[in-house]
Amino acid sequence: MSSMEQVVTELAKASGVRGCAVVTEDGMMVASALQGRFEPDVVAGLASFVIATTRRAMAQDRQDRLDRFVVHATHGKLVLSDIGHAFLITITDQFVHLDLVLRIVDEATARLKVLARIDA
Amino acid sequence: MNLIQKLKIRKELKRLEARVHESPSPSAFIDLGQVYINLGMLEKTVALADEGLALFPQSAELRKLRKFAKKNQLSARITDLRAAMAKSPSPGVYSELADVYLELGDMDAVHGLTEECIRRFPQDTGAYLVQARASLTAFYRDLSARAGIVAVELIRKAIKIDGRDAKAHKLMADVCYRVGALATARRHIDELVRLGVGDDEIRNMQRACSDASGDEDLDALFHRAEFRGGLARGAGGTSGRTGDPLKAARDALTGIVQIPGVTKAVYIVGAKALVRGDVNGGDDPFLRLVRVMARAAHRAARRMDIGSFNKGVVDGNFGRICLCSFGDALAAVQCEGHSSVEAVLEQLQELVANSLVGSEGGDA
Repeated sequence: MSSMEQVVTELAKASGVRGCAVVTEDGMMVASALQGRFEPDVVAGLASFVIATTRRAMAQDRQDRLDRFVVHATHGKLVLSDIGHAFLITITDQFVHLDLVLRIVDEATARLKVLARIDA
Repeated sequence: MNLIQKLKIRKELKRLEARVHESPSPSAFIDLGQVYINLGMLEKTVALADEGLALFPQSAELRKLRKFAKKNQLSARITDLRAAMAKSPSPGVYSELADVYLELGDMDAVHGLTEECIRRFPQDTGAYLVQARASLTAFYRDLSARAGIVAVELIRKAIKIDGRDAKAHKLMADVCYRVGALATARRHIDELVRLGVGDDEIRNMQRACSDASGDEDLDALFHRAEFRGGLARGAGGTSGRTGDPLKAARDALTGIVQIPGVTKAVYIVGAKALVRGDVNGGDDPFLRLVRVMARAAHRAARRMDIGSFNKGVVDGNFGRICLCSFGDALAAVQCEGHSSVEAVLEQLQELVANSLVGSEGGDA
C-alpha cells in the first residue's frame, strides 16, 4: 500500500466521512477509499470538472490560486483541497460537524502535500 | 414443440400471471417477462415491464427487461425499414428509421442517418426534427442547457425550410413553454392555430401563455433550467411575474457588504444581478465566477448523488468566496480570509430565502 493510500484510508475512517480520494487536475485517480455507491471514475471526473471550470473562471477575474472548495449539498458535503498538481476529495454525510472534519482534512492535506513533493 | 410441452408452458404462464397479480414484486414481473420473451411475445413483455415499472420505478432489472424486449421488438422494424430504404430511399423512411434508433437510444445511428438524409434531401425538415428530438431527450434527461440550445437551433432550421411545418411549431412551443419562454411559445401556438392544428395540450398551453408578450432570451432560460435543476413548465415563468425580484435583496445586500472583511457582494436571480462593494457593474468577472462555481458545484453534487448544492466556500490567495444558492437565486460575497464564514453564510442564506419569498408574493 502506498503512503498516499494510507492517508486516504485513514481519513475515510473518520466519523461522517463517506469516502475520499486523491485525483490529479486532469481527472486521474491516484488513491481512493470510497464507499461502494461512489464510482471512482465518476468522482474523479466530477472533481476535475469542478476544479478546471472554477480555475478557468478565476483566471478571468485575475485570481490564480484555489486552495479549497467546500460544497454543501442537501445530502452531503464535498471538500476539494489542493495538494499541488492534485486534489484531495473528501465526501461526508450532511450531518457531519464540518469544523472537525476540516481539521482532519487539513492534516491529511499537509501530509499529502509532502508526499506529492516526494513523488514528483 | 409438442402438445404436452405447450400445455406445460401454458400452465406455467397461468401460474406466473396469477403471481404477478396476487403478489406483485420485481422478480415476479421478471419471471413472467422471461417466459413471454421465450415465447416471442415481445409486445406483451414491453407492456408487462411498463406495468411493473409503474409499481416499482426503481427496479433496474425491470428497466433491463423493457430495454431488451423493446430492442428485439424494434429490430424487426429496423430490418423492414432498411429494406424499404434500399429499395426506394425517401426522407420519410430516413426519419422513421432514425426515430426507431432514437427510441432505442442509439444516438450514433440517429446522427448518421439524419446527416445522410440532410445531404440527400436538404429541403426536408424531418431529419432536423429527429435531431432536435434527440437533443431535447438529452436536455430533459440531464437539463444540459447546451442540448436545449442546439435543439432550438435545429427546430429553427426546420421552420426556415418550411414555415408551415406543424410538427416543428409544436416542438418549439412545447420546449419554450417548459423552460418558461411563454411569449415565444405563444407565437408558435398561434401559428399552430392558424394551421388548424389544435388538441387539448395545445389549448392548455395557449391558455397559460395568453398574457405573455415581448422577447425572451432563450439561451438564458436554458441556462436557468440547468442551474436550478428543474423546468419552469410555464407556470410562474419570468414573464408572468410581477414586481422586481431584486427589490427585496437590495437592502440586505447593502447590509452584508458592511460586514467587516467583506469586499464584494452580489445577488443574482435568473438573468438579473445586483452588485455591491468593489464590483465594476454587471460586467464584472466576479459575477461570472460565482455563476460558474455555483453551476459546477450544483452539477457535481447532483451527479455524485449528494443532493442539491446550497452553500459553498472557496478559499484561495484572494481570500474567501462564500456562495449560497436556492432555486433560481444565488448570493455570493468575496471576503478576507479571517472573516467569519458562519456569519456571512447565515446572512446570505437569509437574503436568498427572504427575497424568494418576496418575489413570489409579488410585493417585493
